[in-house]
Amino acid sequence: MELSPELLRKLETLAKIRLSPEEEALLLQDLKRILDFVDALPRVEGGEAEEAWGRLREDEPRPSLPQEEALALAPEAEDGFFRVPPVLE
Amino acid sequence: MYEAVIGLEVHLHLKTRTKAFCGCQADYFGAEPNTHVCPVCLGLPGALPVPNRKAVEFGLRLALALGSEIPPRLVFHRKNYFYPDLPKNYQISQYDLPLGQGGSLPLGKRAVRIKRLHLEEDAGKSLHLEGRTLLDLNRAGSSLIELVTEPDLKTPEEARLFLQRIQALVQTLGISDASPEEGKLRADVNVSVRRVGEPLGTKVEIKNLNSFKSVQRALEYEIRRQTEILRRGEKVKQATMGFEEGSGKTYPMRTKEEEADYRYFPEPDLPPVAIPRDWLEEVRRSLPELPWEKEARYRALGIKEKDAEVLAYTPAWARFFDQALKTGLASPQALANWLLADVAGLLNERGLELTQTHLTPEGFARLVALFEGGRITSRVAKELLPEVLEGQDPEALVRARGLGVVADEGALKALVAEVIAAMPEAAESVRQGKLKALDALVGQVMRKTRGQARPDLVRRLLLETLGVG
Repeated sequence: MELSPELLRKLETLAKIRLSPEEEALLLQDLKRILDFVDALPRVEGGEAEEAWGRLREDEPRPSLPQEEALALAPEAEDGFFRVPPVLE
Repeated sequence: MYEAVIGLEVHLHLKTRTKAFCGCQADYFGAEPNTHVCPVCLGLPGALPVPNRKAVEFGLRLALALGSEIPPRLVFHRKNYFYPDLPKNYQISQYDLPLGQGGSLPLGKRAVRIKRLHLEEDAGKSLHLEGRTLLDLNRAGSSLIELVTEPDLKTPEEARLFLQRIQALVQTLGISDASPEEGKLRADVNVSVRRVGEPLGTKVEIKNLNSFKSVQRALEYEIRRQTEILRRGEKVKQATMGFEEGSGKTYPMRTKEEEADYRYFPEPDLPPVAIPRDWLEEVRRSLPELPWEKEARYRALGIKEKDAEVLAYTPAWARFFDQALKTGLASPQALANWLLADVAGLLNERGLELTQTHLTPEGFARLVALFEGGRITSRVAKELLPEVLEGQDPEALVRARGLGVVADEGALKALVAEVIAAMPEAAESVRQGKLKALDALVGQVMRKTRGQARPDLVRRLLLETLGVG
């Protein structure tokens, strides 16, 4: 897959991050290397890979975190709510 | 001539005790904000989700009821987007292998095709205040089913009816309360307008409609708007719209990410889970009688088409009606008549639900049986209904107040003779064949019995005594 500077800028928009031109150049190289690495996977001879299966959980309640503990992890809180920058202008 | 083409996306809150992927209690109604949260639903690093068996079972119930195809394994995908009420920055959802594909829901003489239904998690709630947004993540991670129809609906009324049918179905299945007022049933609609016979027009999506009435009104407005654009020879622009209750108008919302921007990929934290066929069979066997099966059974009992439909698609009433039927005391149609006309009217008058009264199916059936067996008149039955609604025994009331029908012909004949003597002119008119005058005589006898005689019997006795008929 070709990773163009335009595609990188689109990814920046989607990831809500802003990169300097130096960072963009660095990241472009890094991402290309990562993609090359992933591209190598299809060339691996298929062994007998075992498929992992997940499990289900019974519908039994478990204790939740106390409000203070949940909010303690947030940069900002107000009246028991997490506070974030305004979403609506 | 223009026509609308409508498809629906319905979100249903599942009645599980815990959230979709963690053990937090899903019943957070009225709870303090952020008290039903844990590392999993807060999206803290390293926390691992585990799917709720009940949520999967509920999804299977709906898929089986609709006749959808169910895959041999349950696969979840991540749907990535950024919004603060989504703490992980992705929603665990399903993509190319949903829990149900295809199937249909009967609607009148036709069937609305179902495209797919899948399991996913809900987001939290945002509170937009001056200069900041506050988040309550109690709802984040609770279990939802999203059901998508094919564009098979043609009118706003049909769309509303479809939603009522889905509501009745999931309530019958016991998988969701599906109450729009509590946000447990939310709908998005897709609508386009075209000239009859032409290819599909450009579709517009209207999001977050939170009542059946809004769905209908938003569609009515949007179909008018699109039709006018086409009449002017212009083109409808593809858009995502909101609906403003006050003005009854739709308005354009932020443009949605394109599907590719959601960067769907298989959820690495959730390996596929096998859905064994014997589990499916077990769920299938546990399905209750479905509304359309109920409707067919009621029809076979001789209940009128409209009554059978209303009962079958009002789960609380169907349950009550079935119990009343089981008593075997009164005929199905009489029970249906009294339930849908008199009980419904009284409840409506008092702003009550059936379950908020003390009316028991047995008490109700006994009252209808007293009337049907000719032991009380319809007027007396109606008079007793409010007290029977409060849990009183109809037979005891009739006995205590001497309200039983005067069916003693001897006693009635004496009254009939009295009335004829008191109203000679009316009696003479009847003798001459002017049957109109009979009503006055019947009325007078009824008054003398305080409304307890059967009018048809009084009529017959009057005619016999007057030598007519």
